[in-house]
Amino acid sequence: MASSASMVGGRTPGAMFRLAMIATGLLVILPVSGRAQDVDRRAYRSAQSAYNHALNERDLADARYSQAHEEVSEARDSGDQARHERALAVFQSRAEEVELSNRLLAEAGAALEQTRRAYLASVEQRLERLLFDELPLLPEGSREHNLMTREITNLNNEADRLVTPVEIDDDPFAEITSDPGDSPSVIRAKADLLDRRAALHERSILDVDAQIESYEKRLRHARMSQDFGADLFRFDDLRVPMGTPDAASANAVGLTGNEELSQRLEALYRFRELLIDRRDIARVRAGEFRQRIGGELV
Amino acid sequence: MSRSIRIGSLVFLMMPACAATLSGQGHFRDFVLTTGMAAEAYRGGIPSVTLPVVDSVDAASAASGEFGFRGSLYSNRDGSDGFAIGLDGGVRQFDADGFELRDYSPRVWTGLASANFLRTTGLGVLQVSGQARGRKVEDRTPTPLFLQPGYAYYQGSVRFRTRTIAGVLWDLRIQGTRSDYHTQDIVPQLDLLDRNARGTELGALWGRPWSGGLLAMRFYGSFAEYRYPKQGTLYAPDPFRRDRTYQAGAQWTYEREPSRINATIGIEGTMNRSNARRPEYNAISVNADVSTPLPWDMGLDVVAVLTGKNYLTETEFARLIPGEEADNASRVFVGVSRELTDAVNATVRVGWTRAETDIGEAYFERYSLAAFLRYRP
Repeated sequence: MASSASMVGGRTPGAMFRLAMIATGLLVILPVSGRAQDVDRRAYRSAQSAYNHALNERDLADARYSQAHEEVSEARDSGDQARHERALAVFQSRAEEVELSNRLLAEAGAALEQTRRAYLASVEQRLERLLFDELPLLPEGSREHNLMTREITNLNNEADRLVTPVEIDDDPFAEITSDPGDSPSVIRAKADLLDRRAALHERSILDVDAQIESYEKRLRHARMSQDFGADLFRFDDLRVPMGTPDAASANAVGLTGNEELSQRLEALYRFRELLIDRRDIARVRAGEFRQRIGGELV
Repeated sequence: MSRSIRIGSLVFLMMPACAATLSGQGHFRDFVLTTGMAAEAYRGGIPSVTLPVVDSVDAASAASGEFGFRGSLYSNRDGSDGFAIGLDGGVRQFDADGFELRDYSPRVWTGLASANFLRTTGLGVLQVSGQARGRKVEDRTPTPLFLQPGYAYYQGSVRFRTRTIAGVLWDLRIQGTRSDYHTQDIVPQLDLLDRNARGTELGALWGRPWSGGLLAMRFYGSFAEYRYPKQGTLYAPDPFRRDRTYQAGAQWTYEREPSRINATIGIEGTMNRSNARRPEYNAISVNADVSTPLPWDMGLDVVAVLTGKNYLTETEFARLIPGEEADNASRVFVGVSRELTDAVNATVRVGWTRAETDIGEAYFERYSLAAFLRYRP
């Protein structure tokens, strides 16, 4: 009994132990490598989903931006100053949303690119292992061989899909592109449309310039007032022989402090930059379209 | 040279190095150099035992020149949440005229260093501040050219302002201060002005559109306890003067954006109670701070404070420290400023100050005409 207990399938306990060790090692290694690929795939899918969400948000922000821009134009044409100012404030807020959504999209794009590389690497690693290590061990025509061949095909397709780096779609006029089949009149119409967009942005830049000038004036004025107070405070000119001079409330009410004015100005500078960028993109693309149909570069 | 002035000078000399070192971590904002000159006239003979000499004249004049600087360093570029360090300092040189005893050339040095930490949370804004301030006066004149004596002043405070709660912003401040006046051998009584204080203030602010602008109202109440460790009460169980100051006030601030008018008026009532009967008083103060643009891109600034006091105990003796505790005081400063270039602005300022005391109907009055040039590098 002792002998039969110590012999299994004609193998010695030592051989059994070695086999068990190898099997355990394989069990540990193979699932881990399989799990690593799964982890990379899940991370990639999750990043892809986040990117698509960010892209949708950006497109939505862009649509709101365009809508607000049109309202600015209409409000300006109506001659209603208050409406124009309100529309411009909304437009600025929409532009900030676009900036934010672009930033989030760029972050999501970077995360997607990182996970793409990691996932591609693990797919290629798996492919190499299947092709060069595992497939040759299987008898051709066997069920396992066929399954592995199918898996290799799937992995190849996946690698093909993953090989292209992520390109962030940051074109503000993505809907106005020139297709190879476009006739000259269509291309000209698209160029005119881009010119109108550029002109719309140009007018808004002038609006923002006026606002910037007004805020710069306010800031200069606020600074002069601050200087006036600081010079009085420095040498105690506000103190008289009154005793307990620090008893009075020091909580002056500043509705719009210099910091706030500076922040508003910085926001307006950023807004202006965005408008200039978009104006220039529209102008350059309109020029390229015209060049394609033999017109002059604007 | 006092410690605070030495520290101030050191800080000033270190500023360029700090700017270079911290350029990657902090952001210098609004560094301003100021130079100015003034002609001033003084009248009256309000007595002050903190002055080393008495001159019999009741009118004097002075010409003065000054240099000042100030700047702030923020940990955030936009000056929002984070740390901020502020520096301010300067020197003012007088050439006094009209005294009988001798000619005086007083010189005033000042320095201020402040640190501020701001943190915005979901509940509101927390502000933790500290401040050290020093002042030194050389060749201090007798009245009527009254110059505050030199001192070192330290302040620490914590303030929390809530987000809007039912349209109201609430704020609570807890503050502690220490004032240490510089004594000289011939005027040891300056020590009498030393004081430590701690107090708290609660305020409520709300605003509404009004006449094309925004009108904000703030009501506040405060309590502070002042301890004068060098002033005796002549009462053994409670030997040193302790004052309790209760204040209540209201401020109205109006701001209209297109025309850039900013005006604040306020009224403040003070009730000072003490373990010594002499300094107990009630006071009321009205103040105005107006800033408005003028034609040709000029700006007008007006700062005015009028205060009246009523002591509870009539006495034939001088108040605590005669000269430092008047019965009423008025200050009005008006300035017209204009930017000369992008980096330089100029101000012409006139000022009037008057303080009176019941004792012998003594008073102090100051008129000044000053011009300033400021440069922002």
